[in-house]
Amino acid sequence: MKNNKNTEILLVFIMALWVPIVSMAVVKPLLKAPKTFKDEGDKSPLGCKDLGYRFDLKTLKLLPEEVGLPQSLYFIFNERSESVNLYQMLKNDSTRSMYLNNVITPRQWAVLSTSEKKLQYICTVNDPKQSYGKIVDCAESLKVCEYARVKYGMNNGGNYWLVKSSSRGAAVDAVLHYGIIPR
Amino acid sequence: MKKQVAVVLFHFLLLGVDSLTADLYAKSANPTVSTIVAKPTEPPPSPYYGVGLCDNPLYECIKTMAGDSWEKLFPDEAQRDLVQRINRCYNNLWAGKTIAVPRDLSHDTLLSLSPFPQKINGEHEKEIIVDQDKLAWGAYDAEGQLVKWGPIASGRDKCPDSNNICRTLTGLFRVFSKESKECVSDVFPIGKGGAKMPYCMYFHKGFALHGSPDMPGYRASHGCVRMFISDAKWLNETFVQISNEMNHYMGTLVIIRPVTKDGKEYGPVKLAADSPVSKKALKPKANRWVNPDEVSVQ
Repeated sequence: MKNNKNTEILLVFIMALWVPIVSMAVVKPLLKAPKTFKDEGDKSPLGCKDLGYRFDLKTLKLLPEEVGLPQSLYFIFNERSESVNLYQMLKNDSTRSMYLNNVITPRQWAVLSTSEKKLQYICTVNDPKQSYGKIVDCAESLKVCEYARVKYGMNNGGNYWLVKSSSRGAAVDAVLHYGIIPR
Repeated sequence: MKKQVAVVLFHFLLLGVDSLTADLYAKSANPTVSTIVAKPTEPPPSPYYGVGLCDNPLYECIKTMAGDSWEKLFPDEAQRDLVQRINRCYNNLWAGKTIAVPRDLSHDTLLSLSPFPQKINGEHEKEIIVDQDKLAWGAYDAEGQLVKWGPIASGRDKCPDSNNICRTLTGLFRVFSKESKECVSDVFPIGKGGAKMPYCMYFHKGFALHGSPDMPGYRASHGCVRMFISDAKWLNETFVQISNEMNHYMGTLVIIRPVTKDGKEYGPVKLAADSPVSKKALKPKANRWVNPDEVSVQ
């Protein structure tokens, strides 16, 4: 009888030891895992309109002044299963002398803040034979939408890639965290 | 009794498995163990400044010795200033440091040694170009004429006091705020603030152009663009206008160019170690008489 009781005590003791170990095994990966968002694929964020851009001869033209305020926010999704390089095309006489280029990883979103009158991009995918990659049709590679009436502060305007490549939820989160109100 | 021993043994067996699992978790959480990503390294010496000019016939390079100082080597203040600008540095010299010196120093001027073109086709608006490859800024007037240029030290790749990348944000911005010689940081040193940023000119969030006594000749800041204090004073008091109602919130344009490698943006991007891009050697194409803007990208 006493022997059985000892066995029970030992079992309870062992079980008590297991509780924190098992719970850590379950909780730890959740804590360690990076902040993830539900993958909504290529669905545009709420309020992001299918306007302010044009696909023209394989290139992408962004036209922020076409609708709404000049300072716009573009969400651009890479529909391909490989990274897409976006190379800005500039006129020879442009003083801007700076290329707002970016690389969007497969099935990810990028966010461009811009107040330029017009931006034109050529799309490429990596090709070991060519340093700038192989040209692909932007229309077949990207999904684009624009927030045309965005509320910027004095300190966060300008022309820059706010999000280079991330999930849709993380991209929206980054925009809001930056103090920009897309609408 | 045998049953008890079996239970205890089973328990420790499982414990062993669990610790192994925990170890695997730890490894998968550590990117240095589980992912193979080419580690970005500092670009090779730039053909635009410092030791990168040693192959250029218009420059000679000298190795400083113990006891050397800028004042001792270049007693003439104007010439000393030019040499410091060419080396993007006015910090104290140390024995063994190599510096580039223009061979025709007595005839050279600030503009003749410029890494920027003297004239660009303008859009009738003055602008400041911050070029992180040249480690320099250039101020152009509304007619596209270069007015002045100077060295910078922009954001380093990784800061020792932070987990974040300290790169300066690249893009086109407008100066929205500027302060006097007394300008100080609200953030750095972390937790205290108070780091001196004389003549600061904010262009985006907490990013600013400002003077600094520490100009080491490489990218060394937390993200701001450091410059010679005299240059920051000149820009702040003479050149830069902040965004306001009068100018329709179009403060002076600041263009921050990215750090590039082979004409591509260089940074914490995943680049295969055996990529032909990473293997391709950089050929110094530019000297001070060539417009490097025409050969650098695209």
